Amino acid sequence: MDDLERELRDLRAWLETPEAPDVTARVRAQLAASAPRRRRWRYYLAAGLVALLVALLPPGRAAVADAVAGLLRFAGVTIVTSPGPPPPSRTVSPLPSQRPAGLDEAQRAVRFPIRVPARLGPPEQVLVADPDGTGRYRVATLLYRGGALRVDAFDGHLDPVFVKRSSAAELVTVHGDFAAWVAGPHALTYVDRAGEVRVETARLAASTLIWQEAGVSYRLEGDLAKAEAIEIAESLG
Amino acid sequence: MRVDQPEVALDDDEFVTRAQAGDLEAYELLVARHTASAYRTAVLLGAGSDAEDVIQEAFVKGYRKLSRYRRESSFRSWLLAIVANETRNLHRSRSRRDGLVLRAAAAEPGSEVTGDGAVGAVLAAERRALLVQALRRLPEKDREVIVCRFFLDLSEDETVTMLGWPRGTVKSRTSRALAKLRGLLDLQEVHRG
Repeated sequence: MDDLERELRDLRAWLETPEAPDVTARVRAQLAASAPRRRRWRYYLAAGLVALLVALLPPGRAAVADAVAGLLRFAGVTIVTSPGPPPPSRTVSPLPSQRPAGLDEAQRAVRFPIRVPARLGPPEQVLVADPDGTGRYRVATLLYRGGALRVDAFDGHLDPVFVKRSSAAELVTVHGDFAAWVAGPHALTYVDRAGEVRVETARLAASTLIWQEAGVSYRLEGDLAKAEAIEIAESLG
Repeated sequence: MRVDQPEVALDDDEFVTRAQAGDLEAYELLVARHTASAYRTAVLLGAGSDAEDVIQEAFVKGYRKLSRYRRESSFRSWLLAIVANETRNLHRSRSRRDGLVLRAAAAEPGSEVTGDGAVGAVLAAERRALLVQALRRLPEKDREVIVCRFFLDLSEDETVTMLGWPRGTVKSRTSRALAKLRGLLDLQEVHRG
């Protein structure tokens, strides 16, 4: 050790570092306010609510939206709620390059395991959408009841891509983790890889449950009661 | 203090396991145990009066990230890495950094010493003041590595974890920082000389 190094070590004792405050109580309070499991919220809010599909507000529901926005901020994600009209749509389907595929083919086309809810059984049809440069798709959709009931699954590790506008969303749990339940019809928005916002105006979505499991985000949409939707979500195979 | 470390690390492990399972009380013990070094780290990295907020935030984030702690390093250095990161975020948001500060006693070194010792004490105090001035002028990364290695007394391994740099970078950055510091000190001596 040379002189300068020795001098630096000696200097340590001369540096002003005030007595450390006790932050235990404040840390505890902050952690208790956001129960342990709730940290996962960030993931789904980033990936689930934010990345895919988004409920647009009917006018007059702003108060509820504000409550939701508050919740989202609380979870550490900043989400813009805007009462303005959605950006103009250029496509009929919000999901770009959507095409039908067999279940096995769809499985090969996405980077996450496709899981079929046991409560619903094998899907009537499977769709994949939004391919990247290598031909891997970003979203897989299972259709039931002639398309009236659908499960969208997408890779939850994708970067957050968006702005969300929410309608009446409610916190529920799926397998003990928080999930969002959006009751009643709302329009659907999707931001594609290029950052283009795609809004589906032709079909209003029915009630929707959004949750995340094992890094994959899911969205179940259909004319369902809340309990029924949660049962389906919990039956993922 | 370093003599106790293996034992402390062992204890940490048990509390970390419990905290990872959701035991908040176990985590509180970890918070209490590491508050002093976390606070010292934040202050020495320039958080100044915001150091308390920095460590609070770091502890909260630490709990939330705990499942990602894989025991590849000591819990302390893993935690200090979060503290360092929070301090950097703070600098970004307020565009001001609090420099290292010498203890008040050091500013009046003659006050407690009399006779021949006083001259030496004055010179030593001047030298320390010069050193602190030079440290304040070092680029952020150079200062960070000096703080880790000399003021926080972290091992090379711990510094690797704390700063998130490869080992080779820690080594080369340390010697480069020391060289820059020497240069600055020489320059100051010349100006004064």
